[in-house]
Amino acid sequence: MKYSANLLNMAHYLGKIILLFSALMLIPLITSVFFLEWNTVFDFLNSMGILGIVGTILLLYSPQSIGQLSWKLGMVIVALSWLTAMMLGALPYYFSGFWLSYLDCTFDVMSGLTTTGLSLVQDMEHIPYGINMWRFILTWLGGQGMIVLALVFLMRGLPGAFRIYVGEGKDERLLPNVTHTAKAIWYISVVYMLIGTLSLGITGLLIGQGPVRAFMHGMWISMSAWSTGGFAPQVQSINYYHSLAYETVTMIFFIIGSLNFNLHWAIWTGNRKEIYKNLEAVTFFTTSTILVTVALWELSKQGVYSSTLALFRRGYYTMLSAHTTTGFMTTYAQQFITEWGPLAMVAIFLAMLFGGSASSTAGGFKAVRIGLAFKAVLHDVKQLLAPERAIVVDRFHMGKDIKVEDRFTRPALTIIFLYFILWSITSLVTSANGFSLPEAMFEAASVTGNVGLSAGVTSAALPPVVKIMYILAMYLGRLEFLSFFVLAGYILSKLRRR
Amino acid sequence: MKHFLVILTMLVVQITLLPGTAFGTVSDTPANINELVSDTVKYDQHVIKISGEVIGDKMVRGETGWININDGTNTIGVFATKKQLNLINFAGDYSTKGDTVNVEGIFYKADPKMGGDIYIKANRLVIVKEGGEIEHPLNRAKFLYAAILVILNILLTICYISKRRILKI
Repeated sequence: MKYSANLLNMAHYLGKIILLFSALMLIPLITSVFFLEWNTVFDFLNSMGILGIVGTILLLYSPQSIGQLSWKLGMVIVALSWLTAMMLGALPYYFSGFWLSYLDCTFDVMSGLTTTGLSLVQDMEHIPYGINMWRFILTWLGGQGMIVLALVFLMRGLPGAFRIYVGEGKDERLLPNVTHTAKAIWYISVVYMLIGTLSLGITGLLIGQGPVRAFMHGMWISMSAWSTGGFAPQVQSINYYHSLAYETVTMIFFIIGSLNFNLHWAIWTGNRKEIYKNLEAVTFFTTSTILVTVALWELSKQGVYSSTLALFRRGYYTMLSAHTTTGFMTTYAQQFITEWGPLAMVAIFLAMLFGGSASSTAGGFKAVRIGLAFKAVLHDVKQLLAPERAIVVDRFHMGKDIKVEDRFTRPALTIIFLYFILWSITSLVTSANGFSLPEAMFEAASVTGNVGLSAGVTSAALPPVVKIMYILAMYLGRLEFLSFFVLAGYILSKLRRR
Repeated sequence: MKHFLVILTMLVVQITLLPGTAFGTVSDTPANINELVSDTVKYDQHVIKISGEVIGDKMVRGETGWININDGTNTIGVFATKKQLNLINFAGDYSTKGDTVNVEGIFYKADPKMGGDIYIKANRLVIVKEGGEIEHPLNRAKFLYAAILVILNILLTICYISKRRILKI
């Protein structure tokens, strides 16, 4: 029976993903052992125990997969996996006592997995090393893709693996086999993580941190920068370090992290011209140049930052952090609303919404969609102006030259429209709960685009309805709607049959 | 002599009432760090007084350096001399309570000489309470739950392996 086969397959893959998630908790557990944080060791042990029970029960129910996965089922599995990871990944946070409610814990897990970077943790300056490690593992995992990791370890040779892979908002094919592609993505990520840890660790030592903290912060910040996640181990974000060198290194890594994995692979395999021809790279460069120029002009005119260096470290850094959807801050949240001025605020809204590249760790509309939308408009205008019988052919370059056609431009415009709707609804819900419209729009753009910059709205005191709305917005933004719509449609269809 | 003393007293009072002096005259100080960073324009380049726990790292860079202090509402950077920083013994983290300090200094909302950094340049830094180790006694209930969960997991794993053998997977 098809119904039973679908349920069995869902249980089987969910079970495996939950067990993988549980195994990942070994990393923060070992970290806590190293730092003698015994209560935290048991928090992770207990969490692993609960995940182990849930995962094993699912696998007992369905010890093997049946047949080939359909596109729909692949997307349902992805959507369910992320929700399950959010609920179960919150256990260590809850046991630690540094969050005020389970809702706050799930908020932080979703924020990590979606590489947003907003946090509701209490007393961040005193949280255990193990808990911090879990925060950064989640953001690093989320940036690469949880399903991508599962494909590497758990689903080798799986028929229909590509269908699950695409459900996580990815469609790049670095190599012909999707499992090899997944391994390549993780290989790129690990290499950058190691280089980042070394660079930031050395920088930390040079600016006066002790060796242990320099190494740990270097590793965490590098994971967060590459994943364009935005989590930082201290409340002040990157401003904590008071260092141009530290800011510069983080900027390099978060810019690299916001580039398409296909582009990385092309450059790594010797095709360096791709960076100049690639539609996404060109679009990102164009939009970031325009928006940064507008913001810096306004900040300079208002006298917010009176030196070039100050404009670079506060204005330029923050705008790039927004556009790559990283969320690292070198200003305080309140300063956006009280000091930045209306034009700079519009520039930062747009930067957060436009986002980075598709098939990267970044969020937002994605540069390829902005580029395609622009190409579509240009094509239509050219067609209108051309002689009646003429057929205008436009092309764009993404690895190869591709003709501009409806089958590319229409999905791009649909997703942009859906992001815009999500942003509007999130802004309205926030505003309806006591925040000014600029604050609400800023925070909504940050949440929808998985950015993580804050105007001071996000805190543990936020009403539960807003927290739930933000969780939903982060989730929808990261998975780019389709997986969730398929899941919702699947559930509705089962309910209707009853 | 009496006239001389009166004039001298008046001079001292006037000097100490001048805004922005380094003699400890604090004008319109914020209640806490969050209030300070929420109204940066009001306090910019004024002498203010703030108290808080030193957290994270004591970052000495040559003859000067940085600490960050947290008062429960927010955290802010303090730029101080090496001599001032050497007074600090503990910086807070999970297992350490940092020294509690009173800092009196000039607040900058975007100092161009410091790359636009928002911070307090310490004129005076005083340790009001020394920090130390924070005890985290082991919660025995967590240990008990862990033992139960490990046993349950072992049993379930045995069941799973047996089922796979029966189904010949």
